[in-house]
Amino acid sequence: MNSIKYIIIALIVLTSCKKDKTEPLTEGGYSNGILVLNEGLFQLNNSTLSWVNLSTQDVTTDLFLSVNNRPLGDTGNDMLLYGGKIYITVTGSSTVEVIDRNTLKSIKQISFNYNNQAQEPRNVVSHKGKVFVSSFDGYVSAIDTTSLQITKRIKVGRNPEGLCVSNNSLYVANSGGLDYGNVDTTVFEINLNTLMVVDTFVVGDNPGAVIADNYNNIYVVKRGDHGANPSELVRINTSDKSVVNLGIPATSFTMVDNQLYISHYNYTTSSSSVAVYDCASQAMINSSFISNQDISTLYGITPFKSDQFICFDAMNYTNSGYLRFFNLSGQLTNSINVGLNPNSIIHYE
Amino acid sequence: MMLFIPFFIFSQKDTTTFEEVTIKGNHFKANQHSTLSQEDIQQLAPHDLGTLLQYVNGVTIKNYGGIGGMKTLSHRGLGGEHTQLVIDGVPINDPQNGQNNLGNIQPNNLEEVKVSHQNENSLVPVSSLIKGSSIHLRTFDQQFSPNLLSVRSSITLGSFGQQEAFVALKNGGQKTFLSLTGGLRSYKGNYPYRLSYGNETKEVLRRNNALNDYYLSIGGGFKWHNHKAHHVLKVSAKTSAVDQELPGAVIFYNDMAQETLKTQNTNTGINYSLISKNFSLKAFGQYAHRFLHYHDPTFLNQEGFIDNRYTTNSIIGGVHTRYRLNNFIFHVGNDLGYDMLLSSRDLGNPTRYTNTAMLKTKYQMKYFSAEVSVFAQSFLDRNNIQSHRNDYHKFHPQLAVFTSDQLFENLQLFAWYKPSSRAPSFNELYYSQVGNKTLTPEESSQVDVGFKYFKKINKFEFSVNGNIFKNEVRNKILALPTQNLFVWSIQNIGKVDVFGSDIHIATQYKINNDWSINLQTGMSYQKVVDISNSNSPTYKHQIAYTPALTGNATISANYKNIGLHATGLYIGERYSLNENILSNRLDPYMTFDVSANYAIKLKTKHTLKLHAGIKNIGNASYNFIRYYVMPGRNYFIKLSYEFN
Repeated sequence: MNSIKYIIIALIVLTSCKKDKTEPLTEGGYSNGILVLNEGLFQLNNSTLSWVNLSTQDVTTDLFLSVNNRPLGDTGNDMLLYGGKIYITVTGSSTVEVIDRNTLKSIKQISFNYNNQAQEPRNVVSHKGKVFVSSFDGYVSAIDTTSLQITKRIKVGRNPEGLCVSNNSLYVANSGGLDYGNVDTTVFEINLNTLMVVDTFVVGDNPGAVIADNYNNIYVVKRGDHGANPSELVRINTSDKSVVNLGIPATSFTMVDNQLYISHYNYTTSSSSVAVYDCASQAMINSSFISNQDISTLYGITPFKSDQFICFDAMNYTNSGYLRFFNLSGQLTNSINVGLNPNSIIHYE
Repeated sequence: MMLFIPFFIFSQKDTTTFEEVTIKGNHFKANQHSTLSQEDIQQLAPHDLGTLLQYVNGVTIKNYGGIGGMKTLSHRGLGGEHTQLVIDGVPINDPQNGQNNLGNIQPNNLEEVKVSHQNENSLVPVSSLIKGSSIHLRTFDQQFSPNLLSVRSSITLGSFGQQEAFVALKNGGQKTFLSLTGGLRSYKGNYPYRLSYGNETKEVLRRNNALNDYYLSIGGGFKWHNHKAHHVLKVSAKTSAVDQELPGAVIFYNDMAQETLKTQNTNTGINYSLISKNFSLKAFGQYAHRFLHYHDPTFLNQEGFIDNRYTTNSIIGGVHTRYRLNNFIFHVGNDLGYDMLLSSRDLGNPTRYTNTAMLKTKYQMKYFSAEVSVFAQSFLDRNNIQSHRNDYHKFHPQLAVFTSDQLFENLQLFAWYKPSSRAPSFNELYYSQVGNKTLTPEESSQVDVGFKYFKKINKFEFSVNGNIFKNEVRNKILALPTQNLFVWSIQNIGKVDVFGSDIHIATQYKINNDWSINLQTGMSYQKVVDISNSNSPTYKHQIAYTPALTGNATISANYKNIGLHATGLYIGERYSLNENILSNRLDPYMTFDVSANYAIKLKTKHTLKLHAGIKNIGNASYNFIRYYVMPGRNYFIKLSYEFN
């Protein structure tokens, strides 16, 4: 209840960015299943990992706790598999948990405290032996994946969130979402050799998720003000530096074969939709990929295997959520009940 | 959400004895109250009003921490906004939050606390009669005294840096009194708590949890009589300030909270009563000023901090008259209040007129008495950031039937029906992003059937009180995440069904002149379920933070000047969210307190009393609200001096 601090916050969407390819599986205890990060709710310390056994459909809850004998913490916002390690940004606890992919044992808990102030890490992306973490205090931190030390803090805009890598550049969405009424509007480009900010794109109010295609485009969700200024898709062309609002309603997205799957939850009408946008032709292929009936509160979409998608159903954010499986024709094929507010998965083959 | 602090006002009560004699006649003496006497209050040695009210049946205190921690009330499944706090006969409201933080009302000057569920004959403000229930506090500050000088004073020391000093002086007489009361409280609040990490348990110290406060009040009264009518006039002026750190919920791996809250309350009031055989009248007026300052020096916005200030000004006045004609008693009353809020946030400049009018008739027959009343509630809200807001007017009929002593000796049966509305608070309406200007008032109704039994056999007294109740809340005002996890909004969507019962047993056995034993115990069961939407996963689930089962027991033994006391409190399982699943479940807990006191009569009328005790003697590690950890075993010692 004392969450006045957090109630005020105007932001956050699941960011699915262009991450390094999911690695092939090695031998380990976990296979043929899905590791799910459940975000939980602010101030309840109930962010958890669930394991979905795909052969039995059984779900093991609170896996981080049972493996590591301590809880994950408060508000796990993003999860990335890279180099045999899993990186989880835990915003409320202000930590990045680094765990072993095969055992899920914690390798290191990196505290994101600076001057005794919580930095609140948000999103994570990898590039050439480093992972980059955006944090609400206005920085992107580079972490060496061998030493697991923060090697550099790069000053960016206000309350950065989404990150993605394209052509040796790191793109950072500066939301400024903690300044309600005076949000940030920019995406910064950081040169990955020099780790310096080299360019700024003005995309609109409160940018969140970012993702890259193979045609020198970066797509950004500018979330607007949750009112008259709607949450829409904006395209940055990194060659000619142009910025275009595509006018497509969006809250988050994922990229498969240069096709952008855009999820949108309209909270006024409580309706969920997924649109498919072709990045090569820059044309909408399908504006209603799934049926609104199949989902209560769409919280994001991610590809699964080569022929499926998983939509995260947050069930009004206060009830335990579901993974909703869809085939390529957008039909619901399966639903699995997981933890509170599922937002990321890692598939173990 | 943050709450603010009320403060004390003034009133009358010493005429109540007179009223009861006049009015009740041969009707049953027991009122529809649960009462804590001055003795009960002293034995429980509560930190604040919230801690004290845990021992009243049917009241659930949502407890956000030790001393200074916010405490709000829920009564029979209705939110705290449905309960009216009345201090010395004057209603205390917090229009910004809708309910009072009971953690900031100190108990040193309390002489009586009663929770009233049902309409009664006494001339209390009608705005408290329309509410689901009301809590009436009577303080030392506002009572007449025949003594030239009365003194109440105490010094308390306790664990975790608790230091309290209190002094109250009263100059009394046949017709007047003048009182001066002041107190200081200071608390470090650095108590240890246990965090269970899977199989491991870690002991951590609570930090950013200190508190300092003071209060000061002056009161005065004058009474006179002529032509069979008694007149009483009382005035008061009070001020208080609380300066506290806000530790918030325990967040794993992030113990860096630095938020603070300062509150200042000042108010002044006047209260007039006229009592005669057939006609009585009471009128009151009050002006209250509240200032609140919230500061978070670590917020990650552009400025790097949050600094919010709020000022609320409230004026309330009311009249309640009673006229007796043969077997009828007629009541007419009206309260009118005006509230306005100014702030450093973009809440606009909200104002509200609240009017409550009442007409009531009571008819007393030989075996029964019946009451029929009609209330009219109006809320007129305006705000410069809202072009138009509908006024709200609603009529609420109330019914009650009681049996008299003539029908069953020592036993009273009763039944009542009581609907009510509560307005959305200014925060619920206008708080940026969260607030919702389209909210309508939340409506509740209560049906209660109960009994009271009282028996005295020689030196043994025994009373039982039981109720079965069926309540409903419509248009329940709920805060829910909407756009995403972080953007919450207040909505009128909930519907809640409440079914429950409670029983309270009290016995007193005076063995001889030296020995006496008191035992009381209460239990309450309430099924408070969400019936908003049959397709929701939470349909018919117990709503969050509403334990189905609660219980308490108190035993005290007195031998001459020595008293020994033990209390136990049980809070059943509850859920942190409305979905009743294992991961949301909070364990039941039990806490026990023991204490002993020794009184020394120094000279005539001079009493020195030493009271020492152990709270949570079992060192239970518990929290009512998830991660708002409560202190383990702790100690206190209190030295009081009283004169007259």
